[in-house]
Amino acid sequence: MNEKHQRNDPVNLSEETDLLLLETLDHALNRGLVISGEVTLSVANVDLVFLGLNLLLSSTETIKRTLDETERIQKR
Amino acid sequence: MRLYTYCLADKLTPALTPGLLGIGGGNVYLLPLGPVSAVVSEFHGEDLPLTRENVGLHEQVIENILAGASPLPFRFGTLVTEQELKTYCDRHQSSIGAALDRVRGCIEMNVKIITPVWNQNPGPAKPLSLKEGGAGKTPPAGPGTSFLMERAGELKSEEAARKQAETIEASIERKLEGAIRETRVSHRLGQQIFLAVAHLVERRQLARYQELIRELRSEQKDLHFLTSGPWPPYTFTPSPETEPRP
Repeated sequence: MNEKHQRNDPVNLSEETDLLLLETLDHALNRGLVISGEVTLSVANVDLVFLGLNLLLSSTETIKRTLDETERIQKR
Repeated sequence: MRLYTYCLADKLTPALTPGLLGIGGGNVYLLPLGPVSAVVSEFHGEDLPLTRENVGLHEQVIENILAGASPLPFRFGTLVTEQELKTYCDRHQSSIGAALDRVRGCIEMNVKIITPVWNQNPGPAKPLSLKEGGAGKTPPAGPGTSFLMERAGELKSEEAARKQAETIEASIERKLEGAIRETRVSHRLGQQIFLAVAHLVERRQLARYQELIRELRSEQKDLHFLTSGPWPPYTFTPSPETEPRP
């Protein structure tokens, strides 16, 4: 289990990985020291850029699915 | 030749970067810059692809430093010459020193709360109609009035949600008092993330912080918590978005 997330046990390893990636993106792309005003990046992975641009929306959809599934399992 | 720059820190030793490879495959090394050192690797490419691998490498290098120091991370994609880096550090020596003191001995923890069920959008306010007009003689609301009534309903919901977010934020602060050095609320009342809070936590307080978070979860079962960390102190590192312009 990924130790970076303190929450209920993941029910889907790929969703856990996606959440960690999205949180990493949120930090690394939006925060930190800036030397110059612009950073030029090349788009090598449309999927990643899409996720980055829709960071909050896609991450929370994944979070909701994971939490809903976790709750269903706990109620059994 | 350009350098990919990961972070700045003081009191670094080469032992924190043993054989570490960075973005583009270059060896990660320390570049002394007066009172601080930059963690860099040579980058020989033409451009910097935004990929999972590169973002992961960026984070991995900084976390290696985090294991033994309190770094100020650079934003992903910081490609500069050595001279540009030296000029930057000379020009901002005072504020970099203050920022390092601020995060010294600390890591960042994040708490996000997903929009609670009771805060789901209740829908627009219904426009008045003949049946609801009291005396029965009130004409149906026109499009302009309907719009204003709908907007009034939304504002009322937003105000209620804002107050609820502030209440939850205050309860988190009270619970974690003593275990956190600083708090930064970075998002509130988004579509689905109700509250997003970053905490600067002293390493020696981390276990206590995590225990308090567990207690908070069990006390507020109607809220969906997502916590993560430890992270390098990204949110508490000076950036154009977080620091006021002179």
